[in-house]
Amino acid sequence: MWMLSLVPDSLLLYIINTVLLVGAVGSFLSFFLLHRILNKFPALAPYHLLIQIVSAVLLVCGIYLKGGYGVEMSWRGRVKEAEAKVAAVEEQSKELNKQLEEERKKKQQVKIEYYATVKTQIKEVERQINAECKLDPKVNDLINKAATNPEKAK
Amino acid sequence: MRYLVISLVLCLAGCTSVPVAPNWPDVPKELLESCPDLKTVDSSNDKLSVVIDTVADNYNEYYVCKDKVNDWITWYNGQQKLWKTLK
Repeated sequence: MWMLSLVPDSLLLYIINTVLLVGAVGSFLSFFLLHRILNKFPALAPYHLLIQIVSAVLLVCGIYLKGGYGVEMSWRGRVKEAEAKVAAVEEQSKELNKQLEEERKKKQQVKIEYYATVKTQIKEVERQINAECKLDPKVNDLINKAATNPEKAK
Repeated sequence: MRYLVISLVLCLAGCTSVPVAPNWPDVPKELLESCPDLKTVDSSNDKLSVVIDTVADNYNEYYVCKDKVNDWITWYNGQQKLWKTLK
């Protein structure tokens, strides 16, 4: 059925309708009216059965193709619906990313400002702190130990 | 053999591919960066202010990293909620 998607819809519908119409009209004529006409033209009588078979085959094919076309169109409709849904979700997803990015930037700015203040305050009392406190060399090692990732420390 | 090939082609004609394939959204680049190691103090340091400064930097780093993890959670939950509507 995927091959049907290669043919333009209008052309496909035209062909299917033609086959169905020819089959229906042909069947009606050959099964109900043709024998009356053929009685007047005996030379054509041997083709009566052939015309009936061809008409019946065309009618069956037409009905089958019409059904197939309907199913194909219904699936195409569903695909379009799904594509529209996906496009909407992708758009919302981008919007969500954008919002997250904006919030991140705001939070980062707050942090930068806050730690800049803390750093300034440390600088301000630096001399006072260092004058009043003699640091044991073990402090550096302990601080570094605490800051080291235990996975890497092994 | 010829009939086998023809029948196989006819069978394959019934196959179809699913044409709608949603793309999982890209993660913001910042969230893909791993958190750095904490800063350490020079072992020859003898100033308390340097220790405080380093600790302050590490606290800052912790909060940056915490935000990153929280943003990951927010991103994942938000996207999952959106994409679940497709099912």
